[in-house]
Amino acid sequence: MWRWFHQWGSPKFFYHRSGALIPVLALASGLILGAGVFWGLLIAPADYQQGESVRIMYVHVPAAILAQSSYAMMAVMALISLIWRLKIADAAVQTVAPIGACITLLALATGSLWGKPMWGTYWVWDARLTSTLILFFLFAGVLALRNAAGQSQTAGRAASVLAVIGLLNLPIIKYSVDWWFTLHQPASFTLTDRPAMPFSMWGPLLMMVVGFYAWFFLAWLIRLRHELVKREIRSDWVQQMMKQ
Amino acid sequence: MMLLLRELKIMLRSPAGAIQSLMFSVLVIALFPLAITPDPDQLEPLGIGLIWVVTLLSCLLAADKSLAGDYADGSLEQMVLSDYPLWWVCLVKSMAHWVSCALPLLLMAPILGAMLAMPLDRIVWLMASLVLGSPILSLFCMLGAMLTVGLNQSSALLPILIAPFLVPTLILGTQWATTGGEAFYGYMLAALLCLSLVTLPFATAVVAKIAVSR
Repeated sequence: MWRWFHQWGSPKFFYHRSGALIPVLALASGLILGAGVFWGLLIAPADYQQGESVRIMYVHVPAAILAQSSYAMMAVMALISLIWRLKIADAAVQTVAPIGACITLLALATGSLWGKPMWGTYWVWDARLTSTLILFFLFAGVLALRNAAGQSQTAGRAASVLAVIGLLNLPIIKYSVDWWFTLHQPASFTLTDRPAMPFSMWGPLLMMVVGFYAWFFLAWLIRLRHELVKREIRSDWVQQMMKQ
Repeated sequence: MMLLLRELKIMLRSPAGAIQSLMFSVLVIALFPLAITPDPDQLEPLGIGLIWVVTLLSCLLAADKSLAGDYADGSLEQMVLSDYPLWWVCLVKSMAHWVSCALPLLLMAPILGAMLAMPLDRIVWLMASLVLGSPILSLFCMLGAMLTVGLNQSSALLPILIAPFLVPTLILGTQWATTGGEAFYGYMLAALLCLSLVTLPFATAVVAKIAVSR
């Protein structure tokens, strides 16, 4: 177990071994996303209440799920880099932050586009929307600190601490927003109390979720490998690779 | 204790910083009736929220100055190297930030409330919520100051980093005050204060070590 951990923690080993994953992930995300888009946007039935606009769900829900879990993944990587000082974990934090911020922005944008036909407005201060917005700001904070502090190792550690504290605060933020919302507005609409979806709808949805994850890991891996080469540019293994 | 005395002495000998942040708050509060409406009936429901937001902003704005001096002349490094437990240093810094930034605002709250046409009982609840909530603001601001100290754009960066973390405090504090002391919000705010008090100085201490090695 520890041997495995150390091996994969080495940038050289990781770079050489992870290359094989890229075509697999690229194929998987391309096929699953393509099929999911086809199934969700063309074949799946329109909702009897929401009509065709329900199809935004096939992009919005995967993005919203991925937004939260990518923050969790970033924070776990940050914790690993703080405890074991793994260089690769620090690079992982740095490379996942912009992807996560973009996904969160996608979730917000699709949500507000969906909100216009459903609720008649692009934005409501609903508990979920608000906590997703705050999640975006948390990503933005990690990115901003990274940018301001430069590439040094201490900059990475500061950003990691921020990410971990953000993860610990996320439940507090989520609950406080819930309490605030329940007091302010009556629940005129809920996303949770929908009647159970038929398979023809949750099938493509599940497919899109899996496809989003595959694409996310692909994008992360490509960025991470690029970042590792950039950081290790002076090391022997990169120099050797460049010569070939 | 000596550390706390030192901070208070520094503050008393150059009170300009504290006065400036207080003036900022009073000025911003004075701008709202000008921008929205001077009508007391419309201003009154906004009062608690506005004063809370202004408190939050002035705490954020003052935060980077509270460490910049110590960082520039090397005393921060000496504090990290000293025998004092580092979490205690961070807690004292937070207390000093609170005394220089939140306390004057707290004392001014009746006047600010009167400017926004708030009745006395709401002002009392506002002050109660600030007593419980503003120390949390100071603790988080010190964490942000430690994260950004010595960086180029620290004064712009700090609010971006820390403001999301202050959302729960803002919600619980304003809800507690506007509901006129609904026990649930009060308990939650107190719980948040306790949690912040026992965790944030330690987190700030971790960041302080990173800051001096930068």
